[in-house]
Amino acid sequence: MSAPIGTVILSTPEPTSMFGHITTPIPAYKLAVTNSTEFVEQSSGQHGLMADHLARTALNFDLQEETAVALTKGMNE
Amino acid sequence: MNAISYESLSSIIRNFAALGTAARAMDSIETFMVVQRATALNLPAAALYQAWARQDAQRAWAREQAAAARLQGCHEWFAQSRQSLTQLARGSETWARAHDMSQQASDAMRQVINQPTQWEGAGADEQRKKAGEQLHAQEELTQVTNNLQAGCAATATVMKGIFMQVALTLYGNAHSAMGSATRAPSPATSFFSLNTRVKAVAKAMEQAASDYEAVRAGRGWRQQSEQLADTFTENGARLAHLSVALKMTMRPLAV
Repeated sequence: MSAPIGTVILSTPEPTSMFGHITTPIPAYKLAVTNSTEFVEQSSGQHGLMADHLARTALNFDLQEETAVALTKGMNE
Repeated sequence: MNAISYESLSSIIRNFAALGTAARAMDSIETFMVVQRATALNLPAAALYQAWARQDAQRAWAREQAAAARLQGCHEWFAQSRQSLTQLARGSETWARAHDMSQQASDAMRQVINQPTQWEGAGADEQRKKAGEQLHAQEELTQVTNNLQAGCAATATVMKGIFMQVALTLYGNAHSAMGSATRAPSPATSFFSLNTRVKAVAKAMEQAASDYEAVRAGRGWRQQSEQLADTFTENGARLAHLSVALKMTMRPLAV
């Protein structure tokens, strides 16, 4: 979801052509672009990490449930 | 009139210069007619007056040329903003699109988080907390992209204002000189008011050049540019902080 945002942000025009004679904001603008693409990259990486955590936790939960069922099976019969 | 552009300003400057040339032609016709008349009437010292009129014409033309060069100098400086209005509009669009996408991502995340789940196992609270933090980060990006879009739009407003200022001073001064600069030559003109057309154009051009120079020196944009820089710095910093914070939250869990 986040990676396309990074591509969109990087499609911003060259700052010198945007700001022309108003040169003061150029470094700040460049930094804002860098920071936002870094942020987007990082958070999209973390989406993956997050999904991984959730999958592992869910698997762990399933395993425990199966174990519990296996353990209690004998008791119910 | 078409939308204002660097090219439209160039064309006003060309017309201004053409006005000067036309004024010069008519001034010299007028001087010729006045001198002819004086010679025909056998007025004393006609030759002396003629020489004086020629010098006066040269001085007036030199003034006009100097003013034209000042205008041209400013206009060459302003060429660096030639693409700015279209490029700022594109930049603004970029952030608007990024904003929409971030908004959609936030909405999708919120849906996932708010989904009722039966899972109450160990770690569920922790995961929800992390997901909440991530949602918060995404919402922050949504806001920042919105602010950056606003920053580009604000820069475009400042830039449009500059284009407008330059257009008004060029057009206004050229127009005010037009009446006197294009008067028909008259043989009845006094010897002491020759070359008035070029002088009128020179005066108007000097006024336009002073205004344009004031713009070059920062009128109407220097102060604003600091504020715009602050906007971009502030919003960029928000994301940098967030990247760090996110890194801390998302440290891998021991599974």
